[in-house]
Amino acid sequence: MPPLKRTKFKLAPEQLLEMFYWLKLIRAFDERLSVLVKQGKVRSGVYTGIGQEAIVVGTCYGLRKEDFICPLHRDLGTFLMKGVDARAMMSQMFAKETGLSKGRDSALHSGVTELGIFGNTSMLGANLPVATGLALTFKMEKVDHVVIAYFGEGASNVGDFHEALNFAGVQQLPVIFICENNQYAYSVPIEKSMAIDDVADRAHGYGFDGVAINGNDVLAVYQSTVGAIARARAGDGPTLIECKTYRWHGHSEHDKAFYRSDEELAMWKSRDPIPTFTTYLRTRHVLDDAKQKEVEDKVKATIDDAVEFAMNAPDPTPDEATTDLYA
Amino acid sequence: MREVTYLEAIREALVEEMRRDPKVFVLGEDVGAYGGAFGVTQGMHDEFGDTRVVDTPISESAIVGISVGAALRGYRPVAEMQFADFISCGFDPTRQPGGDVAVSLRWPRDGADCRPRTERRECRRRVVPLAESRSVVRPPAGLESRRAVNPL
Repeated sequence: MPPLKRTKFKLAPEQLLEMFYWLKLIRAFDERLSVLVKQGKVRSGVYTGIGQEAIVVGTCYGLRKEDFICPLHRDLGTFLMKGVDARAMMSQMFAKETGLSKGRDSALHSGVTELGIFGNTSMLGANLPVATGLALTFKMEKVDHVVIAYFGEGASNVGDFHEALNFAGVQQLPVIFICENNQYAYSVPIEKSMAIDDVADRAHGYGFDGVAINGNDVLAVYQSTVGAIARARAGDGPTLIECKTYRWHGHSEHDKAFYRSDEELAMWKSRDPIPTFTTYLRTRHVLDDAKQKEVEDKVKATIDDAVEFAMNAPDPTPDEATTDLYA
Repeated sequence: MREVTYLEAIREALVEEMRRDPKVFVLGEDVGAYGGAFGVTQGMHDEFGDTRVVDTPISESAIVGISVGAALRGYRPVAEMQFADFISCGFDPTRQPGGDVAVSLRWPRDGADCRPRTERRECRRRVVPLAESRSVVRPPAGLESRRAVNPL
């Protein structure tokens, strides 16, 4: 197995600004949900990915429309980047008729097949064989589309993870496994759930490369992902990318996360992916005060509009209770 | 009336469907060149090759999950659970919110192996519907088996 080469990439200033917008939008979306759920306005359980946005943006930015993603319960931003409108997304969290599941569900379990989004189940890791199946069809059709499959370090202890990686390795499938290692599976720290330091090492047991990277550096995530995507499109099989990160909030908004120290949280907050990227853009004169304000205003307007829309959207009506039900 | 065994009826139906619709494929343990533990897929690998008669590792959960993924893209996978006992290993993926995907899971009916033993002849048909929104078809005779292969 040849060692992974460092992928060269070039992003135009407009593209970097677009990434900046996505980081800000996804952060703002989650922050607003965190407030709304405490006010009792959101019906969904809210599992924010605050602190982990660089993974979403870095992995989704290089995707085509035809590519598929299999996101996690914390990856609301991937839905937005893959083309779900902010109003529809907010409606989904409010369980309104205008949401993705027309009010039948209020979390991220509803995929959007035509946009290449597979909704996840609560059985973590169970999305990975599905991702593998999607990738198998791309191989059957000899097309160069790819699948991005997300999972947490906790789910890498589930049998499905191993079955999926093994099959993807055997069949050399175009799937990129993205591990969002945020250090805790709900409350259980990584050292109590696995005897190795890097989830990335697990890929080697299945015959392909695994790399561990700084998941809070959007460009590092992008660089690794576009490299893996290029290999997958060329028929060179899967890659596992482990993005080391940290979730700032609890597992969900009802979790006070007393199992970790203030010092640990503060240390990770100092590695906030957004200021890091902001500094990068400013020192390269891609971003200035005026441009930053423009992005921030656009983000605020988008979120305000989505909340307004979702609040006023209709509930599903009782006479539709059996619509779309199979049995 | 022509007499056929269960196995022959299922094989005939699978072959017919696979010739008719390129989106139909079978996957499972030992279904490839070996032809399946009970011989259902015998000869099919020769006709359809590796990509449509897919040998899998011993990974029941992945077999079902992969089928869901393929069905999401409009394929009609027919997955074989080698023995009825093994089907519970693939329960979780049957709960995937994949919408109206068409996955056929096929497994040997209870009593397929008539030797007196406690393993590999279990009856699971009453358990499977517990995985929501799924139909179980238990064909009573050979030709019915053939119709049941693609009930969806």
